[in-house]
Amino acid sequence: MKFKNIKIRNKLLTGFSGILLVAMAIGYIGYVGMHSIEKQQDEISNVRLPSIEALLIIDEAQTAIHSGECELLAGNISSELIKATYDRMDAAKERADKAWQIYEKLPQTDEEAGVWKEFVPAWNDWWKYHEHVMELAKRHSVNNNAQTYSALSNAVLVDSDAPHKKAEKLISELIRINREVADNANLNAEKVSDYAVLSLYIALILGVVISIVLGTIITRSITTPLNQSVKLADAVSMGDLTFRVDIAQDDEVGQLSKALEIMVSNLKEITTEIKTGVTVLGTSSSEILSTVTEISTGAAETATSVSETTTTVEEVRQTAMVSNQKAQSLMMSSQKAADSVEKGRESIHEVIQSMKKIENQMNLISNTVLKLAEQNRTIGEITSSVADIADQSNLLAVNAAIEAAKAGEHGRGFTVVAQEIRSLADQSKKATAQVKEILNEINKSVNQAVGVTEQGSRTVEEGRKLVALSGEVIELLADNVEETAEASIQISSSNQQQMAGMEQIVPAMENIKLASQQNVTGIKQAQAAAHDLNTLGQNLKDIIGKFKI
Amino acid sequence: MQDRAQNLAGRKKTAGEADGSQISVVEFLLMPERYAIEEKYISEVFFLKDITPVPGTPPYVMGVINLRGRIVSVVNLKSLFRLKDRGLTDLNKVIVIQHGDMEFGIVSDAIAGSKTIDSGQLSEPPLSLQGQGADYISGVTSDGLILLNAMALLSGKAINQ
Repeated sequence: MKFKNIKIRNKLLTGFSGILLVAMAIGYIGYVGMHSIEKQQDEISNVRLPSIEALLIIDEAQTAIHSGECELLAGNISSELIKATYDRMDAAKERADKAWQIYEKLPQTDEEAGVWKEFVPAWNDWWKYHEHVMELAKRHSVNNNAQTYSALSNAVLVDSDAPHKKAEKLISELIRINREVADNANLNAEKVSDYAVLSLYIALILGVVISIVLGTIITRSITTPLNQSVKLADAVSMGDLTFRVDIAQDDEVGQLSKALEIMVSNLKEITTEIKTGVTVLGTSSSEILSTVTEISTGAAETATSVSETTTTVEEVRQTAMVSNQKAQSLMMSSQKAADSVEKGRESIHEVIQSMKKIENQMNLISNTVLKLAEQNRTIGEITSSVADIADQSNLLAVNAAIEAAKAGEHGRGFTVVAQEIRSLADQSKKATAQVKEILNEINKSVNQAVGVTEQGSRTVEEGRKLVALSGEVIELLADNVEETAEASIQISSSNQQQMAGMEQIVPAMENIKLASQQNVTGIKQAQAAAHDLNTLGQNLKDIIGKFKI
Repeated sequence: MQDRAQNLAGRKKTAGEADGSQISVVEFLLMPERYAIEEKYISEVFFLKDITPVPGTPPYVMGVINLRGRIVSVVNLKSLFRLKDRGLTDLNKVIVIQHGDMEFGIVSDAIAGSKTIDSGQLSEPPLSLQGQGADYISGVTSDGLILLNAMALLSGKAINQ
């Protein structure tokens, strides 16, 4: 299970537990340090200091007793003074015993115990000397002679000096040991204190680091997705539905983000549908507006048209009256036309007869022209043979000239004749050439005449046919005119009915006009409504347009 | 008629005196050129009617005709002179030339008639005509009439062969 999937409660518990552990460690280290220092302090204040005090008291008592002994040596002292000295010595003994009892109860080190064991016999040894001194002193006070005095001073100043010094030395040794132990304890306490302070510093720093790290991790695991969710919410509030958060954790914040995401997704779907709907609405409303506008225009046009139609109907009514009159006169005219057609029919018959005569005459002309062409050709042939003869005459003339030349002087006259013949031949040749030319001209004319005649024949034929056709047309016309006459009678009666109809149409048109004006008013209202609808649609579109999908 | 003949004869004589020599010629047409042959070599002229082509003869010999019992060969001068055909040609008139035993016909488009020309008027044929036909030409008159040398034609190797 990843850390980020742990519930916030558990995360907080983990964080505070870590900090609690650190605090406990700090407390434990402090407690242990304090306890150790207390022990050392206890050693110093409850054992070593009383020990030293007791020892010092014993030492002072010993010295006080020794100084009392020395006072007893002084000569001429009153009994009261001696008594005071005895009292002081007893008080010193009492103090020493009290201190002795205190010291003996206190715990001792091994070394100290060893020294104590040495001291106790040394003290007892000294005390024996003291008691001897006291005996001597009593004797002296009773006897008061030089002998007692010397024994006493000897006992005080010489005999008891060695054990006194030994006991004093051992006491000093004991005091030294105690001081050393106290010093050691003090040193230990200082060490423990330094260690404890160092440990506390380390624990403090570790605690701070652990707190910061845990705090940061926990805070981050909570605030990062929360910040993203806040951004998402901000984006949604600005209409941006495209914003995405990427949070993959299962804690409460992750659940919140997922819920937000699902919410945005649903919002997006809804917005998309609304957008589609609004687009459709906008388009539809636009279409409705344009349609209604068209309808409105149409209705207005209809109203105008109806108005015009009403006028037109009135005109039509008047026109119908006129056409009724015309139909009457048409009836008269068609009667007259029928008479005229009968006359035309007769005329066409005469024309047909005339055309037949013309055709016969054209045929005659055609035949004549053909004969003329035939004769012309015959003349041509004759002219050709004349030309031929002229040619031969010419040759004959040349031959004659040659022969005449051969005849020499006798033939000279013949030469002339031959010349004449030749010139005649030439002339006749020229003449035939002219005739030929003329004949060619005639031939051309005749050919033209033939062509023209044929054309004429054809034209006459066509004319005959046309006339026949005209005859048929006039027959048809006659039939038509009769039909027209009948039709005109029917038109006249129809016109009467039309007139009656028109009289009914006029008020009907007035009603239609009124209705169409009402229609226009209604459509105007519909147009205004459609316009409002369109505006609404556009507004909705703008609003939805603010959402990014 | 007589007076007119006399007049004409006199005029001819004066013309002859003026020049020294008068030549009587018969003028004919080989389209489009005008030619002439001295009258004294011409025996007669006539229309060409039936001509019999003779195999194995040169291309300028058109064939032979029966002239009152005599067999006469007919020559096309255009072919002989290697002239190209120009214009419409008829070639239905025959001029028979004769000198001694030698006799043959020349076809022509038309016979213009007999006339006299001064020999002094004749000029040498132009250099451009030198060649095959030049041997057969005596001269050219100022109006472009080509006088053929009938003797040369009659004795010409080309024709005899």
